[in-house]
Amino acid sequence: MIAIIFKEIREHFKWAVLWMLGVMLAMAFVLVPESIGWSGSRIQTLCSENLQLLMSFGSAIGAALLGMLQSITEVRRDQCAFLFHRPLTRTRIFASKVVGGLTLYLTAMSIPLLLATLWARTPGQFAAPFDLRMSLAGVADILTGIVFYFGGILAGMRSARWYGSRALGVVAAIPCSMAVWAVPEFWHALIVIGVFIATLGFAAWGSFTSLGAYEPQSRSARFALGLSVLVGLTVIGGAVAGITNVVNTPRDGQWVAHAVDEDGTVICIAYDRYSVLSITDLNGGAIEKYATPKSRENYRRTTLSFGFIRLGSRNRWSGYRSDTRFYSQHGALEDTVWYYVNAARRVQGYSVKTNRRVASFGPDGFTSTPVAASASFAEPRVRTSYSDCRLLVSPSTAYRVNYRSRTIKPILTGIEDSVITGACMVPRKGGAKTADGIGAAVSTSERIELFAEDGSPIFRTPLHCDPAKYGVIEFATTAEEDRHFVWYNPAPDLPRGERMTLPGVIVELSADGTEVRRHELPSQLKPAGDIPWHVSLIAIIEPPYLVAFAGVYFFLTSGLDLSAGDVSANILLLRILIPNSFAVLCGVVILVTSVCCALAAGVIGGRYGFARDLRRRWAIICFFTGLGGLLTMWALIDWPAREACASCRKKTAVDRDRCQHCDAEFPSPTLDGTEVFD
Amino acid sequence: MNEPVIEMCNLTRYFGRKCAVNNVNLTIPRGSVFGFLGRNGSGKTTTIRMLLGLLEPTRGSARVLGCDSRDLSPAIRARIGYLAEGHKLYGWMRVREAERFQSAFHTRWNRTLFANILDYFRLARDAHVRTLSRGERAGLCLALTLATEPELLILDDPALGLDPVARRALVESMIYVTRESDRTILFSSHMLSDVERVADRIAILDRGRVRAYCRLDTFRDRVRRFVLRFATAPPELPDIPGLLHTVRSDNEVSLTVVNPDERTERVIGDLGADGVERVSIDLEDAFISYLGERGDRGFFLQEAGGAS
Amino acid sequence: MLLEFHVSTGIPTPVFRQIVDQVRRAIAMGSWQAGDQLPSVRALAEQVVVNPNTVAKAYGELVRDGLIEARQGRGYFVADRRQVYSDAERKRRLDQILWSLVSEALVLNFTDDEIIDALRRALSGFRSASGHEEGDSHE
Repeated sequence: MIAIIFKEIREHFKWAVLWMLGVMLAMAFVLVPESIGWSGSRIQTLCSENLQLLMSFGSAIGAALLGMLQSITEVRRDQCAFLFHRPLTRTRIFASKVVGGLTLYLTAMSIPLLLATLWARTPGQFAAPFDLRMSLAGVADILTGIVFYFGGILAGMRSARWYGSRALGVVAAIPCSMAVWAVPEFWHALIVIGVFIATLGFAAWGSFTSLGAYEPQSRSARFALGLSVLVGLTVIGGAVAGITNVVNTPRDGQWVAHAVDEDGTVICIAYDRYSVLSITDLNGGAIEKYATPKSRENYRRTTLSFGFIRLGSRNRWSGYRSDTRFYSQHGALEDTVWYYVNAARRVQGYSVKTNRRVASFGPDGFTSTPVAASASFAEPRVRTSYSDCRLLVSPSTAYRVNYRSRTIKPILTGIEDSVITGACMVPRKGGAKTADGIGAAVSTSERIELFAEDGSPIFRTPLHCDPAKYGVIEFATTAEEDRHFVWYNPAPDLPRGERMTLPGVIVELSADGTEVRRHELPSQLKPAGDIPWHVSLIAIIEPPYLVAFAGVYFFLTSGLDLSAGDVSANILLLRILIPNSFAVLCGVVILVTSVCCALAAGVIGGRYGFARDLRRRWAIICFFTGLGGLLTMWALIDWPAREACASCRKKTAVDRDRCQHCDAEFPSPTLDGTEVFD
Repeated sequence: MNEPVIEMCNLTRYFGRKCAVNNVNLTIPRGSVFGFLGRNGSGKTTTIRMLLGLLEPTRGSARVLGCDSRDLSPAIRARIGYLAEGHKLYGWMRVREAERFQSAFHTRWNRTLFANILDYFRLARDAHVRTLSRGERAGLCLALTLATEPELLILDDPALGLDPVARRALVESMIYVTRESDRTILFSSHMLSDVERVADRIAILDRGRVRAYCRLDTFRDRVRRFVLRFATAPPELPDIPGLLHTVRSDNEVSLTVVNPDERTERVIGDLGADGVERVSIDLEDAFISYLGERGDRGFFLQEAGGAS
Repeated sequence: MLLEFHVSTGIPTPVFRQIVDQVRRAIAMGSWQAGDQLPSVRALAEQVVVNPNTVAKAYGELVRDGLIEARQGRGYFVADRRQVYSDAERKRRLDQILWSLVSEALVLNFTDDEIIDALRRALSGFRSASGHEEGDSHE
């Protein structure tokens, strides 16, 4: 075994080194600009998306290529004889190759990540805090590469009659990458990677030990291979559906936005793509002020600007891959960038000249020296938008921060009956939003409270709408500060159907906070009539098991409402694909496809003389997996030729010992008297 | 002790719709040198690859050293030496590295034999495999295979691309292997002179079917040539059993016949020739007549005849 | 004395027949006398590069014909008795040789006398070369 491991390392060493150098070079391109100086953008070091994309693609492509290189070079022509004809089981040969290959791959990818980590954690390199866990994203990407590595081996080994079906091995690893990016926690990613490695690794092992054939593999290896192929086909199906959707979506670019005029009127702005068609009041009446096209194009100058609070966004965007899990930029001056550091619960300032930490502040004020842990904020911060960095909010206290004078002052504290859920600056018409000295709004679980520029309270009033549904609250104040507007928008994480039908609400308040008027905005839902019905035929490629799963899931969680299209609302593909009014039609299409696929599998199985059990199994698989299952069956099995049986003249598969119809043996070739036998 | 080393039972392999190996039933006894003959594409390599478990039979089975070919255990593989067609090796390896690699897997490793074969082929130990000539590579492959002292040696067209000196070395080494009486060699070749020297049994494959499976001498004995002299132009020939090949001249007909019996002799005798001469025929001619197209002449001659 | 064996391939005569003929000729010419030891099967096989089984088969035929004999554990030796064919067989073999000789010679346009003279010359030359006395060979 050692000999093969060394051979593999020796054989592919130079490629690994080249790949490593390439990755390091690309890393330098991503990281060096961030280290040179702060340019106003976020400094994310190891969490920057570019670096993560680089690690993700670098790992995936590198590993898949290595896997293919290690397998294709062995099986091309008769080369395999030299490796496979050895006094060693194929499993051990496979294990040796994998150990050798993964040693190379992991080394080649880990060294750049290690160097980047060492660089980023050295003080003075980046004007941002650093946490060792920021390298976990890279670690996850490198581990994801192992899945691609097995995908590559599978692609190299499988002797498929359809060349595209070899590539399915690699394609099947793509969902793993996507999931690793999507999950919030590192250990989630580890589980996903583990599941994929188990599946693709097992499939690769099966195909390697059988030298690419399907039939000789053990049942579990065949299952893993089938699963991999099915996943690959599902990905391709998703891509096809996505493309079809883009092609088929009617390019009707008309949509409606709302705004509040400086005089307090709620107006509707009708857009065609990016140009404003008309501006009317809520009842559709024309507004004299916006009669000319120029005034329409510049309507933003004469409308109020809103600050907004996004409720329940505490954990949003802070998965293990995100820098905001560790710190978030919380203000910046010309020479210093400030970050709220989650672990320290303090805001730390980094000099953009030296890239070193120069100051920090907590509830007790600013300091330039290191501080004791007790000087941290008592509770974790409630996340606010970066533009609201002059507010620092925890569930029980809201502070106002002034970076120039380096002061911090509580404006709301000691509330007992509710917790603070968010805060934002409230722009006043005529006042610049970015300058110090504008009002602030704080939302709690019960109320909203408004504060003046100096932090003195103006009024408090109970929430006008249910915060569970209206997750985005916007605030604006007129120039004269005699009227305030609170605008409740549907939460973005509501199910699509509900989000589209829930009307937005704008509440107009007087200077002391009493409700003056309430406007309901029409829902954003567009009629589905302009989408042709045949778009729903795309459901043919929708995997039935996913639909069934999603259907059950939604029935259990939120009730089943076909008319609102919620069955399909959040299912992977259907969400974007199928207009709500076609949900039933889609269901029918999916069911018909399922039945047809099951029948087809049964018929094909019959033609090739499958055993009754096997035939039934394929039919059931195809019923639940639809077209994908049928294609998997097609791509998987080494279909034998069919020849007419000598005794019953019916066509029979040649890989059987006896005719599938009449049980006659295949005859030996006929002799013509010229044979020479002893 | 004299159980067969290789047994094939209805061994069949399809590639797509093409039947490459068709119901082959062969038995190779221990201690024999078995020549596996046939034209290109007749299924020799496919059969050998199935014997070594490198290719799945479509149907049928084979046993090698008493073990199913699809499931050869490492212990059995250690007893089989296999020289694959085309002398494939890793190009980046040096000769020395190839030896180290191969010997790492085998407990039996005859260093002297390995060195002798390398010396015979004048191979430098530090040469890269990819810089070797075809013959040198063949020599290295042969050395790598023989040094494991296999009980069963399977050589797939080992003489391909070798010069006469190298070929003689190959044949000598095959004879060397038979020093131990229980060693068995299965080799495929187009070099009939080599076959003539070393094979004691042969099988001839034609389009995936076994057409001959016998001792070499039996085959030579069964393919006969008769030259018939006529005073005038030879008559049209009747249906002669076992007729392989006919060449006509102005007053002579040469008939190559397989498995001649009394009936054949009688039919030939009834042709009314002035003289019938039995002509001895060498192995190559016998082989060509046996596997060539039936009928009067080769197609080149027919073309020429038609044009004139 | 050591005999230089030679085997050709690609000729109509099978390898084992070539060996048989060469041993037979060596004995006929007196190169090997009764009691001389023949090379072992393995040695001869490696010398002429043929399968040992082929040599064994040739020796087997020679033993069957009585030209050589196998002594247990010691090898093969030239036998005393060299007369191995029946009279009819001897005559058939002679006829066969004469037939081809005469037909070839006639094709080469030799007269009958020239052929007979040449045959005589060959006979005397063969005898003097192998040291046999006239009339000693066959009775």
